[in-house]
Amino acid sequence: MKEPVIASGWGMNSAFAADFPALIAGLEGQRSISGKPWFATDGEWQNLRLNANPCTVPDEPPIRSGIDRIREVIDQALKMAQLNASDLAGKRVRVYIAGSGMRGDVGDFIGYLDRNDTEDLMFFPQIKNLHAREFGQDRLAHTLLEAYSLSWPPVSLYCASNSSLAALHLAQSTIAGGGADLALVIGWTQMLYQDIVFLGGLDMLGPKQPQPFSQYSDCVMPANGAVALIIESAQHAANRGFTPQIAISSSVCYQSGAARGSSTFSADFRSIAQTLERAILAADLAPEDIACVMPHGNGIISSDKSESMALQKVMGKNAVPVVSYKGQFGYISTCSGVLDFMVACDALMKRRLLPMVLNYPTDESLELDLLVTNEPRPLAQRNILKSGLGIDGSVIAMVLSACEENLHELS
Amino acid sequence: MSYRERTIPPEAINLIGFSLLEPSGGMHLFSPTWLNVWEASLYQKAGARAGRERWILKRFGVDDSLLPAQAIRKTNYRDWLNSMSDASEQAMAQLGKRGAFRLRNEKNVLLYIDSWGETSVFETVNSWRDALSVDILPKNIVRDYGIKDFTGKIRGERNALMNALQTAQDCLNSGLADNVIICGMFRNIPVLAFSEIAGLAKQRGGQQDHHCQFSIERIGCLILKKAPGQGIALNISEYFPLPATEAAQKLNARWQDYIGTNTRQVFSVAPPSKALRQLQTQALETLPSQIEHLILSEYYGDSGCLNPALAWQHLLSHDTQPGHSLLNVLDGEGGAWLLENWSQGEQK
Repeated sequence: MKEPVIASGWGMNSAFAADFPALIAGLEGQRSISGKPWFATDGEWQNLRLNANPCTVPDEPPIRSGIDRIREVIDQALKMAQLNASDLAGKRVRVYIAGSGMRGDVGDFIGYLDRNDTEDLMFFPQIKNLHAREFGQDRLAHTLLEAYSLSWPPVSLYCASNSSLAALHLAQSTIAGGGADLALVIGWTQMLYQDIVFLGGLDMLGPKQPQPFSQYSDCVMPANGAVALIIESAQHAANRGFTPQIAISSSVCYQSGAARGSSTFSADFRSIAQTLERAILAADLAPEDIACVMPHGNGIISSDKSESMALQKVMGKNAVPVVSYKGQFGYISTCSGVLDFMVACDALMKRRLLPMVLNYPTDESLELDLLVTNEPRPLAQRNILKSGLGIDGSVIAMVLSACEENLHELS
Repeated sequence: MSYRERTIPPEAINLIGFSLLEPSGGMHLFSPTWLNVWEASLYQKAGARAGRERWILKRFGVDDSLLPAQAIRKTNYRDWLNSMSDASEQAMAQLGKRGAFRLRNEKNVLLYIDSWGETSVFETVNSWRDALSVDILPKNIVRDYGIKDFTGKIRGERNALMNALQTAQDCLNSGLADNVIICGMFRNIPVLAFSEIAGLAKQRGGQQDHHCQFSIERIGCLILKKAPGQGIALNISEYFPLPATEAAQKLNARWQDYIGTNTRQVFSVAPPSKALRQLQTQALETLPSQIEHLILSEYYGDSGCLNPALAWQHLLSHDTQPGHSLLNVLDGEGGAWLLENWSQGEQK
């Protein structure tokens, strides 16, 4: 029998909110962060042949290093889970670092990759960032290993936008299979010059605030941030006297690139629909038991449309409330799955769903019950379906459930 | 010291398909140039840390029509991308037709491993589709073997393969997968490879020896399964930090915990560093005489995150007797992995 898995603590930081309570306060207050152009001059984005100067969310000063950001969110998650740093020691604990990880900013040295002389190094010292320490993922893992006395170096996992959800899927299945008692999933996104070039090349950036599920917006607004989530077996939680509130009832992953003749990178609506159905089925639920869906909903019309069609197929037209807050707090790409997961946990714990803020009218032809009212909506059922997409073709869907008093119900 | 037989633990997994490929071209002596001062300075520092006077590279995609100094830097990524498909084909062929057919209908996970994370900038990739394959996931392998249950990229300059093996062990033991395919490569991008070695701990004293440091790009594919009795059984036993003093004694003491009456070899791999070479040599010298020992990354040439794969390459090509072996992987960050192998002794 599979071991029930619960979510016990989480933390985050971004330009929108310094921590998770601030994030919820921001969403409750219907706040929306405004972006700024990435490039200082028009010539820079025009030289790269981008369509516009991309709207991105800059970090609020003081700018912290990646490791400081990560440690801050881990501490938030530990506190919420009523754990100490020493509880992360032990061979039955897994730690995952999701996202691109340590990388040099290509903008620092791209023009000097092949040729540079002593004067270049003197006048442009950032060329020296072309160094393995800037790509030192083992160093980052070792720093965390020492700081939290981990028994194993954290695993650095990257699955494009689905990175954090993919790490959560691995962690959940390892605990459910009895291979670990506790797992910490860390996500960290730091947008760099090369990300802007890459996203711009894929036509995913725009000059204005985005709006998921709208025909007036077809872009994302990249933002930086970090997330941490602690999950554990229900037995482990019970042994330490922790009362769980959220269980992960199911987690399903599907790689759409496996399909015969597949030539696209993103999943199509059939793959998404199948994954959603399998997640609901694996949780022993029916579509009517789902209180709300939090899809990937990043604001790209084609991907939003695929998700809408999948939701229509699985849940029915306008059958269940749907929300995506990426137009409000920005697109923290590799962390976005776990960030939504946390917001879903909060919604289940408070039995209410916070509405989205509209930057532009939504597309009514999608026939989704998008929650765009001014008031939160009470949740009748106790399950939320969260899904995520990656440009690698991965689709992940999870069912989160509010725990009843009796832990046995989880199994 | 009295030993007991090392038996295969229940959490062990089995390596049923394996391939490790090297570039087909020759070795190239790296020569620093005043046109790239930053790279040249890192080369000098790396030489001092590694205790080597010269560096010899073997890379995928070398264009022989270019000048040697330029050819070793300006390599074509297509060669290694195609070799990765070849490596997976070779590994899959070891399953036999029936095994390969059965695999396609089972739950499969693909873990793609890499040292540096994103290299498309250094590879001058000229299409976004190739950039996705280089930086995120080799789509052709996903498609060719119908891998639909999980895919992801695991990175780490030295830890990537060990992290991937640990994840594979979790996936197979939890029932998430019936088979885990690990595919990966080590790209010896000169400026990154030299700066990595330049950043390793310095050892005072001693001279650079007159040996050359060999760095070989390699592509690997491993197919792992839970079902016992097939291939080489593997188990990641431990990871531990090395103390600042008496590290060789501590390392040897840890090895003793995992040596049994059936242990035939102790292998070690590490980044090319004078200090780590000395540490391994000291620790290996104190092993019982009946146990064969070898620093694989010195013997076969350094291959970054793929160094641990040299152990299975060595076992499969040299060892026909069943037995137990211990692989020690130093990660250059002051830690050591211990991985145990049980060969069935049928391979050649």
